[in-house]
Amino acid sequence: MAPKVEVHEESSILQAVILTECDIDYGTAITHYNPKVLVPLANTPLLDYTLAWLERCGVDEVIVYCRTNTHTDKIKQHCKRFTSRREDCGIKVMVVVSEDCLNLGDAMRDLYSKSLLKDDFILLQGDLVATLDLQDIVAKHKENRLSDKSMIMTCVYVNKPTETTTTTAAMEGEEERGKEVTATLVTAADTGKLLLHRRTRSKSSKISIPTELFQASSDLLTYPAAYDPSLAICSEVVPSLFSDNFDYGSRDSLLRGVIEQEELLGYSIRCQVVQDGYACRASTLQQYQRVSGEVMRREAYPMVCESSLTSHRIRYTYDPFTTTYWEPSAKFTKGNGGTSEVVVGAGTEVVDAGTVIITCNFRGNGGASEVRLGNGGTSEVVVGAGTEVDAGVLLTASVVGDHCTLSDGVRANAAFIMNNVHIKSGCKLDHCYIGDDVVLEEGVVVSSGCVVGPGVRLGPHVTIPPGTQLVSRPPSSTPDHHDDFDETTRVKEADPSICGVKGKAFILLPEETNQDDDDDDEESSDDDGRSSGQDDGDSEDALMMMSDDEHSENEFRREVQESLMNGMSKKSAAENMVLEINASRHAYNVSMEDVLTTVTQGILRAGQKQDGGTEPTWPGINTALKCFVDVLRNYVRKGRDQLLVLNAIEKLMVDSPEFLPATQKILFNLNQTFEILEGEVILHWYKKGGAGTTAFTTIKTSIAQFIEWLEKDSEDEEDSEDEEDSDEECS
Amino acid sequence: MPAQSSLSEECGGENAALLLLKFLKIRQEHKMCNCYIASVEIKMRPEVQAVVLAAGPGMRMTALTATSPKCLLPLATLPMLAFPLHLLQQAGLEEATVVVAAGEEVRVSKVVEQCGLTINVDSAPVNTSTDPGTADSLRHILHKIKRNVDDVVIVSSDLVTDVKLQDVLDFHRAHGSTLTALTAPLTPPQHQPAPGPKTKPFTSSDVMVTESESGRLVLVVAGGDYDHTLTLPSVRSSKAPLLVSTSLLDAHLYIVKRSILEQCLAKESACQDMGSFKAEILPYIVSRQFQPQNKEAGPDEDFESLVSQYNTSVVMSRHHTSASFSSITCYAYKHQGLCVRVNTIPTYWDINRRMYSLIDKVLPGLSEPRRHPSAQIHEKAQVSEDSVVGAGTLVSEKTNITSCVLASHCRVDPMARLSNSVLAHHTAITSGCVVENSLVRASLNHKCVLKNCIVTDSSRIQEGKTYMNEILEATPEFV
Repeated sequence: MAPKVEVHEESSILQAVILTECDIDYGTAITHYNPKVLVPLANTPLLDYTLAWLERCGVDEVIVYCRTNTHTDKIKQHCKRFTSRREDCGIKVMVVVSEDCLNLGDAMRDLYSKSLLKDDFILLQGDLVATLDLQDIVAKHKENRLSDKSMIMTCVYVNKPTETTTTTAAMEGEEERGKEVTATLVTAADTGKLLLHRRTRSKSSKISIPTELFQASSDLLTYPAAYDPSLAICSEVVPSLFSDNFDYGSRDSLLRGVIEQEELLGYSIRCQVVQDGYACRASTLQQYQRVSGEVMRREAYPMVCESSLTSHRIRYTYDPFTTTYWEPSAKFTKGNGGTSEVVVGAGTEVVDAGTVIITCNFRGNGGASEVRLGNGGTSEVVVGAGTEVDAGVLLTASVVGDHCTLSDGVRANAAFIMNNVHIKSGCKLDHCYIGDDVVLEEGVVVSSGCVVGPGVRLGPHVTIPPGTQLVSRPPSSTPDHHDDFDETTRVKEADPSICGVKGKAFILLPEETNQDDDDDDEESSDDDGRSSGQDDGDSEDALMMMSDDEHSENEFRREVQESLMNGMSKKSAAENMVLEINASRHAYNVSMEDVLTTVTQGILRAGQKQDGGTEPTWPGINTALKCFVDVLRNYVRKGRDQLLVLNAIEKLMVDSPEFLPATQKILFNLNQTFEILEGEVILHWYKKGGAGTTAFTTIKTSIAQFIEWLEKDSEDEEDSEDEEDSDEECS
Repeated sequence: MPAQSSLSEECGGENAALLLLKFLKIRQEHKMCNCYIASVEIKMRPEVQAVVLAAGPGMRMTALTATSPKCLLPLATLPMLAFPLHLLQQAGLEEATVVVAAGEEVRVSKVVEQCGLTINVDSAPVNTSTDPGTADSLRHILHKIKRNVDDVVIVSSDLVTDVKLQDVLDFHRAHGSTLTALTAPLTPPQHQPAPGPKTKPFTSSDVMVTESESGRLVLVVAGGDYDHTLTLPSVRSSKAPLLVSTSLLDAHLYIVKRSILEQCLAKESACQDMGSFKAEILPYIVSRQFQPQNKEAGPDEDFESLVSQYNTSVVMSRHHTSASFSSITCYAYKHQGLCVRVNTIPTYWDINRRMYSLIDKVLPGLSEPRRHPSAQIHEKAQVSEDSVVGAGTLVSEKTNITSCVLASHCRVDPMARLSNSVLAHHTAITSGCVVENSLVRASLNHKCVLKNCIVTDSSRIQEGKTYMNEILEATPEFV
């Protein structure tokens, strides 16, 4: 979609960038089928909340930024629908798709290179539900920018004096991540300039302030835990800053970079801490539940459940007394049994003495049904179009999508039920997410924290343990979905003991370690350190650096491999190769040791590939070695470097044992023909047990012959050396 | 007396209850059903006791305090001590305990009549040879604090402010505060440079951390007493932003609950070795807010527990909720007006020079005229409007005096020219002297020119010489 921007209007256009690949995901069971931003919250996709808000705040153009995957078209279509509802005269929505956007930094760099951002813009995540007065915030930002040219960004935080209600029964399986979204801020009291930004670790921890900050400002305003809705007003400098510094992955790393190198860069960041208005990110399922409740409680007014955010029509009937919303076509039938009654939104089944019982008519198509209410205060329920709620159903703090059927005796507390779900009698749902087209047979109990993916069939009479993620198809049968699926998850076969006799479901087992790695790779460093809740700031930084490093290391490896392959086919001179590799090294800020490791492995792999076959053969490797001996020699300078080469070879064996037969020849040639590795060093390395990887034992056997020969050789040498020594002593 | 009337309203609860009991007893005994007027004499008890700390040696202005105790240094024509005493008097206090250096009691007690104050001064001498700190002084007079007062006002003798103490007291009571400290924005002196050799300004200021809206004190660190990092205590209501300020002046006016003060000054207390109230005891009390409740619960807590046990209908006020997690709550009263501690030469100089315009603000109701009627100013003398001339001062003809402060009983001989200068009591300026921007505390018996000088010893002045940026004081040999 080409940007249609009138030149003369350029200065007055207010742009916003929505990142749809949010840093934290809901888990594969949901996002595999639906992008996170299109997951409905109170039957309205998350993205619509953001778009509606931006529209109301007078934003002219929205760039929805997403990565190329299976969901791209869905997002495109959704945005098209949203704008077509307004007959294309309202807010302009532009979907920008990128191939390899891994984090916020990449997105900024990409947008910078596409030069789509003209002036100050609003940067936010797609899962934000907010009602803040953006116009006011942007106006203040512009005013500050006029007075202080060095100010490049205004971060928006929300600090409510009253403690926001914490969800009592949090979805299990989700860690307590509330602290992840708050930050400790230290600002200059007079200007609002951000002087210190730290992710809050725990609520009770003490805050330490470096006293050197007093030099910047005599009065510091400290916010111990301000909620961070990941919202920022950025000037056009910000994307350029991201593209100048490739190590800025997330907004946090930019903040840190700009604050730490204030003298160097000459930029500053301000923050506005807003007291009024609502802003909360449905970043995790736990937060999703919280936001859902708050939207139903009308905290995000004027974005309320009963009015459609796309068309602004009133879609639901709203009962303010019980905070229930229902689509007029929803049926609430009176059951056959005399005792049955539709119970909507009772806090507790057993109503304590002293609580008020209100009986009123709940009008439905199927006739009058009784609604009983406790005063538990958690009676928020949304029921979508065409849904049939049978008699004797108890719903609390739940959302039911369109065309569902809930049979007699279903109990649901904080359940998020999507469309076309059929829940048969006697099911109990608690703090869970039920995807589209799910069928729950009789007597299914879904415990808290469960995610039931679309199309799953469960039951009858099974209990799903807390925190289980269920999907309808084993991922091996879904090759069209994104690649990392297999890597991140292990899938068991459908097990009747888990999903019931009629059931059709597979348990998705996220592998803890893999998941984390994957997160780091995939979503960059925004959510780093969440696995280390108790760590202090320093080690958090270390963690952050590590994952950034890992990412850049991979990139670097890829680039080196490429240049080696090119060099081989073009027979480039060694100096040029070194130049190329060094350029990559600087770009990714890789240490010398890593370069050596990468180059060594790269050369050997180049030999394998040059050969064409998958099996590495000695001739291929030999040509590669011959070709790049000067390159390697350039990097091997000290004895330690030789050890690094040896370790690199060993590590290569771990990854690809097919090199094993060639090891002895490689070592021999490096030692004898190219004279890069000294015999002594090899012996020393051998005796110390190599790099200590699993492959060493196999290497040991394969190079035993060579080592034996070396030992003999060195003994001779030693003897001669000894002789020399003794000679020297004598003389 | 505004203080006491409002006080009796608040703390009258106790009295009223007693009265009612007595009244009921009387009614029972005498069967007088219709008598609602109890003929019991209501005696108002003072709820606040004031302590003025005036024994300070003035270590940061030794050039001036060598000859006179700091609390008696004149600000314009009045001794420094008159200012805090007047502040207390304005709030309706009838009595003040003044801690003075031993040997100065008589001079100090004379200040009251000299300045036309009505407050009763009970001077308590303290031996200054051991260099006592403010906390030591307080310990010294602890026995003088009456058992029936609720709060003690501790004020330093060097405070010049236009705050209304009544407002601070009201704030203290309204917040149920244990300790309230008066603070004000730190303002640099208006009149610079001060006479004498150029000195580095006193830089390391106090750090005060307050909750930005309520003004609750969270942390107090006295001047420069911090490392590379400052650790804020964890506050329960962690949402409230904290204002970490180095630009607040701790005016050294504290209102402290008597019970806490006694606890801290008691022999077995953790603060028994602390010498300074401001630098040590104050931070200690503030930090106690966030420590878990210890066993030091006084009789009040017992009463509270009884109330909560037997009276379920009691709804705890917000002060109770804060009191429940710690019995101590400290607040900073943020005064936006004038507040200066006259404890350095620059501040002393500045206040003296500004006194002409400030005198109505800081001494409201005290009719100290800028030009004392007993002063004899020759009609041919040129004295600018913004000069202050004290009692019995004699200004001869052909003199030119601009923006000066002449304390009482000074003598300015003909042909002298004074500008932007401050003269202490009983200073004589001989004819032909030119004094600019100088502080003169000794008679100039020889014709000379002074620029930016402090003179405390007239024997150092030689005929016809010019002095610039010097302190002319008695050298130790002469003493």
